[in-house]
Amino acid sequence: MDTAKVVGKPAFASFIERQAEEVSVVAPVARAAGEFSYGEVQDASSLEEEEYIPTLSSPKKYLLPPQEALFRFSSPADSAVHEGEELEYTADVEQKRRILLAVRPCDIAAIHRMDQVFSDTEPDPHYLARRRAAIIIGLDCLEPCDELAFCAAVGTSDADEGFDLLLTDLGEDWLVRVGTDQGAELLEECQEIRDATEQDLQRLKDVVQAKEKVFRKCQERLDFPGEDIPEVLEGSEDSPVWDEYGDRCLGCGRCNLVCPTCFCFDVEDTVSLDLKEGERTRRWDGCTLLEFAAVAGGENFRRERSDRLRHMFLHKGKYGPERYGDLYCIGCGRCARTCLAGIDHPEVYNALMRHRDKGDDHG
Amino acid sequence: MKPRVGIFSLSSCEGCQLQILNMEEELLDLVQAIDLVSFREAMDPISGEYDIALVEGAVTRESEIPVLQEIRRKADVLVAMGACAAAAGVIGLRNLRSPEENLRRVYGEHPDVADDVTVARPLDEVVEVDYYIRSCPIDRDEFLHLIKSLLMGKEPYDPNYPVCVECRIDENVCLYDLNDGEFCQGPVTRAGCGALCPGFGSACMGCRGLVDDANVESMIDIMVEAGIDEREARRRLELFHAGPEGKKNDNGED
Repeated sequence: MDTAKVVGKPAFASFIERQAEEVSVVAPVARAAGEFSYGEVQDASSLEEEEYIPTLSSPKKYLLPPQEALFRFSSPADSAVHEGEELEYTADVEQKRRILLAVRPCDIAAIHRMDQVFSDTEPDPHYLARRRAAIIIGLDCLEPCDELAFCAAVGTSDADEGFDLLLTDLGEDWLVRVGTDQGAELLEECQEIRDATEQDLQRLKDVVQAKEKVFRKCQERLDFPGEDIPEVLEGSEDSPVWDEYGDRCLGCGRCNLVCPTCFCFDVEDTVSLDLKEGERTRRWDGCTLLEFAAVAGGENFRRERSDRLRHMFLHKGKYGPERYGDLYCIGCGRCARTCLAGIDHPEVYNALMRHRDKGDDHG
Repeated sequence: MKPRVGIFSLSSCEGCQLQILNMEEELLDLVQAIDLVSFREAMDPISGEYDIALVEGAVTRESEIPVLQEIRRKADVLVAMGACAAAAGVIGLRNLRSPEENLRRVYGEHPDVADDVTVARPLDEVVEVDYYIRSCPIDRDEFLHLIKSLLMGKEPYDPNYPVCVECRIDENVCLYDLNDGEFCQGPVTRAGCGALCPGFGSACMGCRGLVDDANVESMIDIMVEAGIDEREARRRLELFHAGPEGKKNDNGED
């Protein structure tokens, strides 16, 4: 499906306000210190936020919450849950309809990658139920939002798929690209909307073309084409770059926790004081944290901070592409923005490239 | 059948015992699950025999050493409860000066009123400690988690990742981004508190102690960059765990 509509901004705002009366609508909301985070909104003002920078957490949190109960268990007999009796299990799967509004192309790309991961091998019922109940109304970026972003270098500054609707700012109007049947159906509730004319499509084309120039600096944050990242990482295992950045790295996990494509979680069972019932919860984990690769018996496969930092880069830039064909870094720059040690991903990739060219890697 | 539990106190404010007493919603369930045999803040002792001992406070006097050794001898499981027991806590600040100097400053002409004062030590410098409940004061949920884990024969989980993890999950605006003079120690401090202080806009003061691989030098750089001098940054990092490290770094200054 690839149709386009045009609607005046006030009419679209009324449409969002009506939706917000029926379902949960979430969008970037301004916080202190120029930060934003996704939260419930009642109107469409987020669509015209001029000072936007990527939100503290990505919209991932509505699909994979930071912590959630996977299932509950209870002991049918008068015994404790750990005493070997057959337990009873129940699970609630959340299916609340929710509109994710003003999702930027980078975050749309991130959700697409999360979909790949949680549909692969054992499909994840909790993630997929939330995903099915979510409607993504994207918002195209006409200029880079943040100097730390490098979306244009990794091919995520434009969205061609992964949205139900995608809005492009044409001044007085929104041009609405329809990505799915679900999006088309939703749009039937929008008033004063019309099909895009040849002239509208030409305006869209002009706007998209203008992006190329505006995003050049963003693209040039990386010294080489983004598609070469896997190749640059290939054989970089012993590069001195990892030690250099590992010395600065706090191993605090902040980059993992704000990353829109980090999907790792830990699971824990908690029980009531009488030990007769409990639940299994999962919560976000991060590969830059000390105990991430610790296993029973006390062995830790990545005890050094530099090893853990390297693993994160390899997962984003090499293992992800190898398995799914896409870079798992979407260039939003959230990790660099949150990193107190100032570790910036394109800077690291560029350093790896320079070292490789100098031939001082052993790989 | 139910494990016998004793709760003991060395040098401390007894605030951790108070946290247990404050668990009004859970106390009845708690005494169904365990036999409390000693709990000074709450009751007269029922028995001198126990399976699990929870000890708050640091060792700061010679006379406390045999008391702690006796507890260790009797208990199958010994738990260091709270910042003082786990890392010497605020009491450990005394280690930045010699015991004699501390006595002179506090008792002036009469330093002999406290004649067996030693350096402040966490429990594990005197006896073997099995588990820790950290922070000042302890968190009630963590206390319950420990009790439940011991009842099930499981290792209690002791978070070893920094406060930043919980703070990012809560999407608090980072105090270093607000840049209003708060020098948060969240990046190197053990989590488990739910980022309580930063969540209310106050800097983490490090009451749960350092994570195992804390990058202290990088943390100092960050605090200095935020506008604090290096000596002050190091002092702040010592607030809750000057204990063993503080002794090594003693430079005789205030």
